[in-house]
Amino acid sequence: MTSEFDLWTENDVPSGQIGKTLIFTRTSRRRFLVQVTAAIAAFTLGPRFLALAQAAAAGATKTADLSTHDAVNVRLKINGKDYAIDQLDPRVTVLDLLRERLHLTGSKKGCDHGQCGACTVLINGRRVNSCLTLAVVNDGAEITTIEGLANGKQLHPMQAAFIKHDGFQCGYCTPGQICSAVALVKEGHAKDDAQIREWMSGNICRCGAYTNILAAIKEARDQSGAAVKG
Amino acid sequence: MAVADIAVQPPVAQPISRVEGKFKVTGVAKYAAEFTRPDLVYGQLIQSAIANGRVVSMDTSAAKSAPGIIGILTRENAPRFKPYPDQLTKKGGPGESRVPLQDDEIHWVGQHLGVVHPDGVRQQHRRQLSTRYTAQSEPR
Amino acid sequence: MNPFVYSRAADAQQAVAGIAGQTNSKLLGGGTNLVDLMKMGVETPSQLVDINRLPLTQIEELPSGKGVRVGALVRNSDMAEHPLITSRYPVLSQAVLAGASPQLRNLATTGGNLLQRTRCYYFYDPAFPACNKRKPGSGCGAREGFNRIHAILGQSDQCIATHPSDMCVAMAALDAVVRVQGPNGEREIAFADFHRLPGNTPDRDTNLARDELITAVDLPAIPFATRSYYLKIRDRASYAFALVSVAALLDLDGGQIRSARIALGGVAHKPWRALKAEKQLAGKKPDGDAFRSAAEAELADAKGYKYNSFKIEMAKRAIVRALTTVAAIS
Repeated sequence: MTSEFDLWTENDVPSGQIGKTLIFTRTSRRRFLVQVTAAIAAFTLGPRFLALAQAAAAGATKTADLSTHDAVNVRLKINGKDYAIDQLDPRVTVLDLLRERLHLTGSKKGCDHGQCGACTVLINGRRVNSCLTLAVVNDGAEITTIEGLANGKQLHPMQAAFIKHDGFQCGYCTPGQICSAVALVKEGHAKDDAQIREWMSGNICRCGAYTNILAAIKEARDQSGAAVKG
Repeated sequence: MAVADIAVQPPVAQPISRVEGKFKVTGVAKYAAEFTRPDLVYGQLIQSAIANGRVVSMDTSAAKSAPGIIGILTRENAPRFKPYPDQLTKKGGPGESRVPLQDDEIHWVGQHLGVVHPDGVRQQHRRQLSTRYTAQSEPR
Repeated sequence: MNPFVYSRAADAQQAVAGIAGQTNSKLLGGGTNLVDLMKMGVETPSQLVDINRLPLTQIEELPSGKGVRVGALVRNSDMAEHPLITSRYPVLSQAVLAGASPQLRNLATTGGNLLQRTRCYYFYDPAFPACNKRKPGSGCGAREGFNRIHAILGQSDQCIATHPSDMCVAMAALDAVVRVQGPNGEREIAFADFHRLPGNTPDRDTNLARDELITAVDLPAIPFATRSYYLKIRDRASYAFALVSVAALLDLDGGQIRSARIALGGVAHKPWRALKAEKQLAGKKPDGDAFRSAAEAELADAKGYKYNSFKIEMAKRAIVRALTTVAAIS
């Protein structure tokens, strides 16, 4: 049986740099805003987006037309830094934005389908799979990645615990494990071994370092009276 | 001190302070996909949708003519590779005997039939590239 | 993932307006199923309407003690640990926590969980030609293929897929009501009528119209729902779909069952209310014989395939075990 297959391969790297990326740090932001106040509305919000925001703010009883975009502008605070990314393909996931556009490659792509947890980051303080959530949906959010856990040269207690208890071998799942574990402890789901194992089940480790990961989490949990970030 | 008095640690299951530990827990350690170079070219795979058979023909004209495409590699223009060494590929040996993109045979779903090379990560378009191929499926 | 146009809705009216009259627009909540299906090329909407800003994130008591309303955009993790849910509907909390992973539960929404699609391998692979759900009329690869995770009840010649949700099994047992909003206003859909059996239209998973938005799920007040339990049987201890699952509630009066509520997961195209078992249990003593007999009645018409016939006996034993556990709750 002969069949025809029409296989389209897409431009599968939607995080490619179409347009400019602006990064401004907190200290310079005020000055920046003063200089470009007039332009910023047009820059960070396309004209149709702005109209939508205004209509919503006015609480109009008349439903404003839903504006549509094939490229979007996204603002994010990542590890304490403000980013404004314009003309982004809406298909870009948070994971691809971090890795490909912003070169924050600490978060890993293990499966790209929400099944392994290697991409786990904290969005507004909650652990999520960054491979399954679109950047544009998270517009305005605060994101913490593995790169944002340490305080300068001082490791986060969870990071230190993973080193102390050798909670990794190849290390590829490790950033996701650590981000997930930080959230786990804050959620209060680290009461005992069974609970830790169950609530860390979204992070898999092909090297099988689970025993040591468990030990590391318990140590960091017990220390969490100390000031921790994340 | 007699030799027997010296405690000897077994060689395995000892905690070791890893030199790369700090880099791994901070996300600094780099893995294969995280190395880039200015002339790096990406490939998008054309994969078989049938499990067993032959490629009858491939029509890459639509993809080739799309802007920003460096090239398309298929069995028709792939370089001829040397076969794998005998000791790897002989019966019972550990090696894969098939060298990719050398012939029209299809042996599994997902087998690579070709690679499309767009012009790097910096794409200026989001159009769909179409590669049409005709395949004859055969029972095993 | 195919290119699509992105829109963001600020309220329910905008969301409905965004998809009304469109044949290829979809609403985007948590995205844990939709984005996955788009990456696989199974779903290919040309427009996504982001509803994550809609004010549908409350869990609140209904007036006059009528029960609890859960907003469509409540995240699964929040619902599972909300005091109104854990205290009044423990089976629902257990069911949600039995599903997915903490990361996924932080993104997944009530509405999205209702609408999630089957994980049938043939459905999930667009390169596989025979799937009546993806392409009506193309056949069903699972019937003669690898069908371990497929249905034993309610299937048709055209489709033997199962509904993958845990939350929905508990909601089915609770007789929840789905509230939706469309261009013509609001309506309610009884839970038993929300999901469909495959019949001749396996391409349609639910009775939600194409231009309707789920706004909330109402959980009726059920005083005996505190005596409830969710049992999930799967290949791994965690983070896997159910082979068979049971949501069970018992209304006990002295040493007798006044009524039972039993729903099964992993066995059909929709959460399966075990009405035959429930009917048989009314008035009986809550013992193993009664449970087993009721389970036999419910599974009498079950039909298995080459790789999933084990589910028939497994479902019977799961019913017995779940009811035994529930009966022991003081």
